[in-house]
Amino acid sequence: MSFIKSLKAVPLLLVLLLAACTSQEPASPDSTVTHNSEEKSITLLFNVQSNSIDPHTDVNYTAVRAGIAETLLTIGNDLKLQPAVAESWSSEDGQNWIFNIRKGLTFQNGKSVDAAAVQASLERAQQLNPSVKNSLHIREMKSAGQVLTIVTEQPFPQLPSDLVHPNTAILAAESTEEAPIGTGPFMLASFKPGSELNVERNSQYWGGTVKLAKAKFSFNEDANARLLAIQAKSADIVYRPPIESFDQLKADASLTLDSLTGLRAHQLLYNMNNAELGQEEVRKAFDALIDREAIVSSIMTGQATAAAGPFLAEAPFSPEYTPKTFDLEVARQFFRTAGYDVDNGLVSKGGKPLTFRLLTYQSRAELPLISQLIQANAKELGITVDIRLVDNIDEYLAANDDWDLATYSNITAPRGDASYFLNAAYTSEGALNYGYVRQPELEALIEQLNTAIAEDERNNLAQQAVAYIDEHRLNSFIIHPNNFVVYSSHVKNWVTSKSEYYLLTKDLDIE
Amino acid sequence: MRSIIAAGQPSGRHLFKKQAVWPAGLVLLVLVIVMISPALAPQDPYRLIVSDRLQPPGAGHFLGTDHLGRDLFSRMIAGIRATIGTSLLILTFSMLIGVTIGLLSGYLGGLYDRVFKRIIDAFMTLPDYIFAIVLSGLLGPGLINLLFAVIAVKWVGYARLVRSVVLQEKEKDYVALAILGGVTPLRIVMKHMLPHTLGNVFVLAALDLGKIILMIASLSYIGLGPQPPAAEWGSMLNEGRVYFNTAPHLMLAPGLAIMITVLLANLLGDKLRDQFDVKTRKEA
Repeated sequence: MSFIKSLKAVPLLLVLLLAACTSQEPASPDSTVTHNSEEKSITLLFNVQSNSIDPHTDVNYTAVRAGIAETLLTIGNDLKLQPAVAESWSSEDGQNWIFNIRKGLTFQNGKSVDAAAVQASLERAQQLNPSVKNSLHIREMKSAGQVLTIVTEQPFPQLPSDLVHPNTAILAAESTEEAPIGTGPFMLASFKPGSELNVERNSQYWGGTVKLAKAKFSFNEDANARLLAIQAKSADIVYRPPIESFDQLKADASLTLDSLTGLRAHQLLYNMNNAELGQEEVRKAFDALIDREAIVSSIMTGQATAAAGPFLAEAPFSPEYTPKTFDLEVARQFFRTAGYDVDNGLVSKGGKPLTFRLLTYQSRAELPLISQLIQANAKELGITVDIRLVDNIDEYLAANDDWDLATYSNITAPRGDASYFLNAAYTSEGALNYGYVRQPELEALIEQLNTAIAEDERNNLAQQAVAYIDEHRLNSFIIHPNNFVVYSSHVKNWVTSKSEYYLLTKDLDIE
Repeated sequence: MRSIIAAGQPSGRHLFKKQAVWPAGLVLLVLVIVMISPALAPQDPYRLIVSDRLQPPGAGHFLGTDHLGRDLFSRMIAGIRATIGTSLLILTFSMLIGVTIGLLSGYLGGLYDRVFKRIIDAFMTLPDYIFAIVLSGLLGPGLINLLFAVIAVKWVGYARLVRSVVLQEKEKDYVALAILGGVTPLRIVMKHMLPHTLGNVFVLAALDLGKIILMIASLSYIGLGPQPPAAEWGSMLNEGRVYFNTAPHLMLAPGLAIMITVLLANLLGDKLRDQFDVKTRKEA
């Protein structure tokens, strides 16, 4: 009897649950937007939380993104270097560099920025962050007035591009880990690690009038929470709302959705230590199993570009990539060429079916889906792909060799130069060479690139290296996902940064 | 003497025979559903049609489709085997290990009992959820590791219960007479001790079933369970979490399935406890 009574509660619970799932009424406009021209403020919600505000060590570059600190040079959406703290720069041999520091420039504490201050800041960055030290290859620096001379260990033509990296931001000597003092349009007001950063206008900004009086830069890693925040008007700009919500967001006239081809590439890594994947034909067969069009149109709902190589096709260092098509028959043909048995469309080796382990991770929500798509296509050929979800892909790949395939994603050309990615991913000592790629011919090309100075020559060598990677399918590049941002229609002058380095700018405004 | 020895048997056996009919029938029914569930799915639960992703419930797909265009209803059906089937498997193994160790420890006594008792005590001190999470975290995600982790925390309850029943029962006269009569220890354990414990073991098992289903679903939800594309209710709940705003049916279906199954398992456990538990019956 009590059993039946208890069951009666089930419909009630169901009704409650359904009620909880109905869409909520839009909240009334919130008061975060102040229209008084003197006190204009804005709230930006970012998708990665930051626990540090020191630009020299923070891996999320929050101080640069929030406009507190600036680097010697910046990079525009056209991927060209632009002057910032340095007005101009030059080198004749790629080893001795001269940077002219902007005249009359002051830090946010009123002290002037001269070459000595810049040198001290770069020294602090190298001291606190070994990866800055390793990437800059600086032998010595000299400062005289507004002229900073940098001598590198060997000719190092990409030095200016590496000085765009937010970890090399220029700080005043009085800066501390908790309170960086930069030259940017906004000054630090308060910072709660992992939660939010408040900044206020730097009225002495060298670049001109800063339109906003205040701004709040907060963090939330949950895509649904970010979506609710923009719908409830508790944020004005939201980074990466869930892709599935795009139709909903587009239908809302009070919001603008900005989607921009990013510099990131989602890729499939092959473990070259695997006897099967060490063969070029097998890698080409796997490449033919990737349905890039379906991934772009369905999983990414159009918010991505199919990738043929590591860099966007229009980049100056991209060669003419070989066309990539999804075709099971082409995949079978590659397996046949490699000497595998293909009977009734099923691939086997010596009568045994093939099995591969594919690693993937959830912090980029589309990667497990792409993995399952590859798994399903491989199954059509009788190949078993075991998917394994790992928490931290970089840590796992660096420590383990028990995988065959892995999905991975990184910004391949963050600062308008191909050499970072080529060195990291394809040289024997490269930090991102997780697939044990050992190709002497390719390494020789990269070595040549590292010492080439003229831009044409560098682009030419990079093209040759990328063409080699493409031809031998050392990796498969799947898509370039878009950077997407949704913002309220009262936000003015918002520019979605391709490099993702510059979010709060002097021009950002509300009406 | 035969009648005194036989005195040890009826209460347990009688209870087992008479009152365990409908729960046993229900378990059998569940087993049948678990066995035939793949045949019930209207579509292939693993076939991806990405162009049909996130379809709402409708004519073509009774519960809609998931984020990769798979039929959600078919995946829910496939999930019966993955979730309930796995739970029953874990329950069976936990009972086998727990009952065996409990019988050995209780009946043999002495050094064996001291060693087993210490092991059981050590396991009892560990909070089961945390221990299972740590264990499956260490072993790595996957169905087999999940089975191992949950069994490792669940067998202890049975061992402890059976040991205490055996300790109580073996002091009785009929056991002493059986020993005098030359009955082998194995026969005493199997014929006299085991039937006495079974009633309690089944009550505990029925109460545990809901907890195990929840534990498997919880571990899968945090990514320690079966790996994609496995249709397991907990991992489906986790996969649907990302889309709860745009496609709430992805969380609603597995969430409700888990809730209703655990509710039914708990109600069954309560019912069995009311019938088997002597103490409760007297109080009532």
